[in-house]
Amino acid sequence: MSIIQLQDVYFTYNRASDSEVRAVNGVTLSINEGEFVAIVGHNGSGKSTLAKLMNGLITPDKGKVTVAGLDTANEKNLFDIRRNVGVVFQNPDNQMVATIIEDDVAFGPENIGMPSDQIRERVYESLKSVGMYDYREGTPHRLSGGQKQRVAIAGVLALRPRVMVLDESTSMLDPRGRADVMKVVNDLNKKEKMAVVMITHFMEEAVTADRIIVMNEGRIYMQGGKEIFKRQAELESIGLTVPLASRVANRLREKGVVIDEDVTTYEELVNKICPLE
Amino acid sequence: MPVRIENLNFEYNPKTPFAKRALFDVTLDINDGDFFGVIGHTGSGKSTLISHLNALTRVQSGTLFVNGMDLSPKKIDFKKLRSTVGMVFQYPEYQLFAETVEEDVAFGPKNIGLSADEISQRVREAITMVGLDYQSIRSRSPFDLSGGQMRRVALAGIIAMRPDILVLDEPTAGLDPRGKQEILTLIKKIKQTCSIVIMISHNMDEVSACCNRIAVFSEGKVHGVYEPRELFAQKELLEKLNIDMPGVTNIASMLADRGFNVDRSIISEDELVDAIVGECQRRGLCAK
Repeated sequence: MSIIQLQDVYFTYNRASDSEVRAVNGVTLSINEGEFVAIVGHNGSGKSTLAKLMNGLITPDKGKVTVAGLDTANEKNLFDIRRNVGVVFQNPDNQMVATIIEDDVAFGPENIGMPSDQIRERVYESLKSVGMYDYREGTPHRLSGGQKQRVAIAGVLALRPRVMVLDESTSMLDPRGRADVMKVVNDLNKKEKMAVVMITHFMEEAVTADRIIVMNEGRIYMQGGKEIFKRQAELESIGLTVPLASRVANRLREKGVVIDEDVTTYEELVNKICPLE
Repeated sequence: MPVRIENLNFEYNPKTPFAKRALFDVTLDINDGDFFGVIGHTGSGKSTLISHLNALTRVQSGTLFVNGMDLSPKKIDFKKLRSTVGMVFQYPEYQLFAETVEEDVAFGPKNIGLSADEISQRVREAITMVGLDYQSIRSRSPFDLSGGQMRRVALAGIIAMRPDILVLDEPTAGLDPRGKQEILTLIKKIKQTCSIVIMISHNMDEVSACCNRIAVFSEGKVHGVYEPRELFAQKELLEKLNIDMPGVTNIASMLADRGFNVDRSIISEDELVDAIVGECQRRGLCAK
């Protein structure tokens, strides 16, 4: 069953001015319950605009966006829409609103008028699921970028949304911070069945998704499972790369090495070349 | 010997309850011609070290010489130092401020009192060097540009100072794959006009592809200085320091662990592909 639906959506920034930029150009798309969708594309391809459309931060110029059947263009729906769709943004430093970590996570639940004992329960639960419970009484500004992003995710979780949208949320993190955040996101999807929309330009993050949507010039250029990484030349022509293992596999195939299946991870590649006895 | 660091120590908030030691007896020589990589985890002291190089952080103990200038004394020639060392911080586009690209790039040269002719020549040169079209971009607001373009304008502002030593902190962070590639190509081009480039990076693919020497930091100390192949072939050391291998080295190492005959010190994709094809042919695993 789908939670988010975009029907032939158009969006232009700074409409009717000199700096008009058409960002989304006729996109039809639905995100299903429990699904892990990756959206990839180079800068300016419209992928972050999709994130903003998905929780009503912006509304389409043309077409329609619905969340759990509610139209984002109707302001009365926004409260319910944002309880269903939580967004984690790119810059960890811009998302902290309180001086104590547990207060920061409590911000969302407080805003929707949740009773205070329930808030406490939700905040603790959320901090535990991102592995930041032990830090709850500390201050966010002493955390690393990866830890801050996990706190931001906890803030989203505290509202128990059905979909979590991550808008390049790992792009400012070091490899360790990125791996920690990805693990939390994968667990939430697999164990809690939360739908995830992961907007990224790290192809290695996209390979774990159920479905990969490639954006170019505001349109869906290609979508599918990891078999899309066989189309290396096409992806490179729109400024993207394919995961290293896929690239090496593609080059080996060209040179006559027999590698038949889709390969996207190092383990898969190594298993194809040198199977365990 | 342009950058010579001996027994450099540094502590943040000394003599307060928040005192935190960031550097412990750091000794490093960075030579003319080096493309010098600095790697290590967040909090390992990399940024503290490089902020010493143009005296944003002052020497507390130990010695530091940059192109023969002693940076230990309280009074130093800042003007000379900052035209020698160009510092590109993380997300340098956040530091753009002027109304036009041209003014932004001209800010540094103006500050060191160059003549108007000299300034305009340097600005034109720097903007062209970073791959932007001077005529069409000079009067535009830097804030209307794309992320990759903004970063290039910020770099142009540093290049216009004609630094002899260029220091870059995570120059490709946050860019998309094409943007990353463009910035790396640009940095290699700039390298030809400077004596030394020093680059902090968390991306081992980039470090192994660009740098001839790499200093590994861990908990405020220099663990060692290595050539890329020498460093990345040492699986146990990397695991101990929790440093990733470049992707291609990782694949080579996994294959070697299974007894497949490839060199563990492979650091480029071409080498990896050739080595695998070679071994597959020997084993008769190829179609052709």
